[in-house]
Amino acid sequence: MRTKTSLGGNIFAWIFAFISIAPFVYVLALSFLTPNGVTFGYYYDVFLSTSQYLMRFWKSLLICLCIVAGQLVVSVLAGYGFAKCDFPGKNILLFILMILMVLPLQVTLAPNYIMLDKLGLLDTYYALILPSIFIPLGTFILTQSFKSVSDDIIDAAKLDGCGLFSLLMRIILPMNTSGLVCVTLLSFLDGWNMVEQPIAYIKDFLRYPISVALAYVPPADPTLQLVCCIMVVLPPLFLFTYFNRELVEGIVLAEVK
Amino acid sequence: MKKKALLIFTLIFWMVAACTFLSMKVEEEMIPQVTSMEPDRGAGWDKDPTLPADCIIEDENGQHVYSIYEGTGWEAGTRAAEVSGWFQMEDKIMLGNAWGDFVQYSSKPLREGELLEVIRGGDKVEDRWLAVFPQGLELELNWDGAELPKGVSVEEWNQNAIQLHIDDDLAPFMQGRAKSRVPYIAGATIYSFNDMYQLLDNFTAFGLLLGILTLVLVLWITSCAFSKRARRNRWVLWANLALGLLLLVCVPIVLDSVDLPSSLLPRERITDFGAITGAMDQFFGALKGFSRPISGPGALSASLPKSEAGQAIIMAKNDVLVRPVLYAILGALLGGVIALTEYVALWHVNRPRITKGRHHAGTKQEN
Repeated sequence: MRTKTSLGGNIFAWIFAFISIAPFVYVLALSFLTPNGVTFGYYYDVFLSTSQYLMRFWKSLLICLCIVAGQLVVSVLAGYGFAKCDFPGKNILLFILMILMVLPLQVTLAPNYIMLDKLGLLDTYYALILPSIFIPLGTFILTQSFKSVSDDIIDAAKLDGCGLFSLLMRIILPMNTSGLVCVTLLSFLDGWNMVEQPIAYIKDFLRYPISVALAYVPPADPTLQLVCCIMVVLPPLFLFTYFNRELVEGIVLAEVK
Repeated sequence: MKKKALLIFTLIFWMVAACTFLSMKVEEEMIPQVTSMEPDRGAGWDKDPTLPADCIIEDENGQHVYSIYEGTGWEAGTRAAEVSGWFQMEDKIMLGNAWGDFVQYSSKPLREGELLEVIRGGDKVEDRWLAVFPQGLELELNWDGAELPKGVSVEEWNQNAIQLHIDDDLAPFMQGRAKSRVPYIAGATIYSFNDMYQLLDNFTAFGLLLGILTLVLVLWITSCAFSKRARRNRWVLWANLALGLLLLVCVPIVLDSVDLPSSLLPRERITDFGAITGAMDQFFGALKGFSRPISGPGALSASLPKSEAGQAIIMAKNDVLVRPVLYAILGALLGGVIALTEYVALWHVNRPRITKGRHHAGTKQEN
């Protein structure tokens, strides 16, 4: 049955949608406009005249993919452990995890810096990837998501001879796609938008990801920065449009729970 | 939604990846080549440093002197900085401050903050120069009797242009250096035959790049059409994706063969095709000006210059000029053939069949 929305609700939704999308449309429009008229010159400057912007874009994308892959592995295994295994101190560990989750990023910067320094990983891409892999939010989300899988299903799979790896790959993960998508998106966005970590852990300007390097785009013409913004928005835009359904399902499920 | 997002962003990311390869090449090719020199700081502490007048670089905005510096951050690399506070005294430039090296000759006009490639020395090559004089500055000199520097000889000339043979020119060609060597042609726009040949040699690569682009676009459109029944046509979609990736790998391979002459490139943007075609029109127009007067109707050789070098370069141009368009059309045609093959293969696999001697309990419905 379709729900009929009121006219007021519709108008509110349209206004809200307009307010949400207006900055992006504004950036898109300004990236083509100069006082002399419409131009593609700035797109040429970013996409063709030099490889600096695009190389940084691909490097940042690679860093993010490593973070997403690492965090998915860690979160799936830890999430399964917390959700479906019994071991001493489980609840205390989960509580500590939740506390770590609410800690502001700036609090962990200094300890991470010292650890990375001792490991000799400062000023390398590992300094950005390794700490981001172990962010506890993914584990927490997947723990909650895996709890919704009935124990009977897991027992039935075990009775059929399913090992841990098969159980995860064939039963648990396909039943929790929305949770996985949620972790993928959040960890990707975390990595894509990271600013403090590169500034703290990396000294060499050439190693800065695009999120930080954007601030150093030659400031003579702000339109150049707007075109860079358009470039930077492409991967998140793709992920959001591609995983749109799973994301909505995940949010709805979380609300129902 | 998923299919549309995947299709649109696949094309966008393909383009961004291709642009990355292209930008690396454009960045490399657009860097002006310059020769540098240190200023003469004189004997006494109170003497102003000086540079030879050759260091003045002229463009449509006037005369400029550039120093060379090392940039940092986004502006890392060897770059040009315009010098202010200089003045010309006869054949010397007097400078207020003189730190580091200065640009002497450049392969094309420079811009403030532009990346530079500083050439030290250079190979000696045989070349021909074509000096084209602007309207209103027609030649009045009798070149047959003119005293020219050693190694320079006149091959052809008329009122608007002159073709010179150079035994030992330094590569790469720099207009300022040419004008300095033959001061008679200082008011002209000078082109190098070697550079023009080098530009023409790249037309095949341009054509291949255009062909790759049109082929990818055709494959993408085909994929859009096949994606309506994505499950049934998944092998075709995977094949198209693999072809797209293969073509993406071909882009840097083709770009590797591109080597453009700096003197014929536009000052700011490589996409300023008007500047390139304008230079080609002026060059070949001036060459045709050397042709013999038409003796009779239907004389095919009338538009060719007398010198063999001039004739050869016009022939070379005629050979390669249509290649970009030709390869772009071929790319589109190849894409069409691939799409048709895929369509036929799909039809063959999914065509309705009547099997003899077997009774089916139910009819399998295709989605």
